Amino acid sequence: MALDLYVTIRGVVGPDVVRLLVNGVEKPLTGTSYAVEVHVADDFIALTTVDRQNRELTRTLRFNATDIIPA
Amino acid sequence: MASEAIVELPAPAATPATEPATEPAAQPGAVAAGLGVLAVATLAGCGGGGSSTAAPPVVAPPAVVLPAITITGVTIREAGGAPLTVNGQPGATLVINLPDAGPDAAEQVLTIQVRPVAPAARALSGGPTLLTILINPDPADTAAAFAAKAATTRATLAVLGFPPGWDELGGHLQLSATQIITRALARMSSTPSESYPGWIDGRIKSWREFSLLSDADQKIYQDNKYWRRQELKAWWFRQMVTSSDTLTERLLLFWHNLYTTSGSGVEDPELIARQHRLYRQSLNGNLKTFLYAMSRDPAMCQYLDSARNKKAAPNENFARELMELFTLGERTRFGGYAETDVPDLAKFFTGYLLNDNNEFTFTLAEHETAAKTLFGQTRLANPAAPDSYAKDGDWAIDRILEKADGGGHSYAARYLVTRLWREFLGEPIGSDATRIQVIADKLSGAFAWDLKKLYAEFFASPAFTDTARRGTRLRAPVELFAGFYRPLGLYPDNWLDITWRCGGLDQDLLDPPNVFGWPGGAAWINLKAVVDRRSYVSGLQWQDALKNLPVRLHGVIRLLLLAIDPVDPPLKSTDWQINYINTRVGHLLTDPVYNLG
Repeated sequence: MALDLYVTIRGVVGPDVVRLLVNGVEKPLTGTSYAVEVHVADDFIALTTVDRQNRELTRTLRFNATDIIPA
Repeated sequence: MASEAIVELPAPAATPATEPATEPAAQPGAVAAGLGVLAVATLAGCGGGGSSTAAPPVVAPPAVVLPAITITGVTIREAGGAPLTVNGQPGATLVINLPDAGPDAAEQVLTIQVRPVAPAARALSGGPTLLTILINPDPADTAAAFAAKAATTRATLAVLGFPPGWDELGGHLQLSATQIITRALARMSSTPSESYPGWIDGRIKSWREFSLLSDADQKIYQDNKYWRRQELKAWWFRQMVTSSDTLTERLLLFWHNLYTTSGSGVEDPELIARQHRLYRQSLNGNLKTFLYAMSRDPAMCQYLDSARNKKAAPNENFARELMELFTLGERTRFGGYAETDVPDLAKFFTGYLLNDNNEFTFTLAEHETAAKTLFGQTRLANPAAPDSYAKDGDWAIDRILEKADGGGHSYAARYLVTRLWREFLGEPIGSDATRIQVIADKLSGAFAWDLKKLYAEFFASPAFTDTARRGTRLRAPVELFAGFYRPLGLYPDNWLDITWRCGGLDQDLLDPPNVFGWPGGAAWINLKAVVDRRSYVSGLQWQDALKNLPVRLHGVIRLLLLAIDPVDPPLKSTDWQINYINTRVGHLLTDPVYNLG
């Protein structure tokens, strides 16, 4: 049974970024750094930034957790 | 002639580079990559390709600065807080710093072995877990799994209101259908996201007050009636597109069509607006109180002639429709009442009149105060209680809801659930009738007519998550338009124009054709509608706003707009339409599948 894991993604956004969304849900930004925790079972994660000109950039991540069967 | 050197503009050349060669599957990963391509293509396209006879002037490319996002590290923890070893190193959490290659880079793969430290937890989990994190995952790897998940989420959200926008979809991706339904029910509110027009509670002038106005003011007053009605239609459509509480708007459309009042049958737009607000406030409460309030609603009293229902000459119109169309269903089809019950019921609502300003006024002098009988039960109000006669109608409504067939099943509960089923799922098929009866029995029994409990039970029906039912229901005209603007996050230039288009497709909001309401289902389609639907809907592709559709949505327009796969073949790289987002959207809008929900 694979472990139930959470992963915190950390990073930096550009100075013009005013909003950060994770799968469409807004998350807090502290200055230009962010840290968002996501559940591995969510599988697909879309990090979207929006800048002052309302331009958007989405980066995606995907998780896969599997058992390693003991030999 | 040298000054007339031909300069090729870069825009058309740059556009194809941002678009895939064929209609893509739902792949947000590709969208991110596409943005990167946009920057390159724009830079590369500027100033390129001059004529062979004259060199084009060098034009400085516009600076393209994308909103940057960098991933610098990940931290891993176990849900229960169990200490872990990560890649053999102990620690409750482990920080991994990443050299990020940027959003345009190829797929990066992190492979991490995670194992609990505690022996008991190790025994439970068995072997270590191999966690793979793909950053900038290759769309080819994610397409199938993601598309299936996104389509399921979209279908659930669409049935709970209107098809979602991309951000709304993303916010629900990690939720199960049950969780999405629970969230939608919890979000329901009797207050709209945008207030009703300010004139809703304005005093309606009596004929005498109206006659005292100057000719010019009379004209303004009458013109206002028309334009306020149009304003209300546009306002409601805007709620459908912009509100986060789409379930309420969708249910409001249902109740508006069930307890129908045609706008053209009620002169004052204030009455229609107040009825609309009343239904919004009632649809989440108890069916009994909803019906009590509806029977006193001035728009309904005017439309179905309760306002003329007097003791000396009872008007049976409201009584007949209350049973036939609002609660029990057609007498000849369902047998819930007899023709002789109509005049009996009408007596209970005598005296439900309106004053000169069209406000509800129970008028005892016009009310039948003698003992009255319905379905063999007799009501004799208490003259000593001041409002006892005024509640005669409520007593009759209670008897209607109790009316049961030989098996003890409430006619009204079954009729209501069947209507809901037709509205949200289409005509019942197979074992649906059994499921409908189960829900109906709960509604009239354990739920005691609590509508919120009804919705929770209704939307929990397996039919809502049955993929075989996707795309089997014909969408109403208003869904065709809300199903364009809402998922793409666009607003029309003129909201009223859209409601007029709905009217052109036989769904004039707040003005159903008659007391039966819009029949819905297959009745939406006839020879005229086949042509008009395609014409009206395909025109949406030329909305100016569509040119500004975020590039990240270009790769998911099919997912956002269609409930199931299109029947038309996808655009090929040689089709000119593939080069422009407008025509790519148009290709989907004109697909027959766009009519299905």
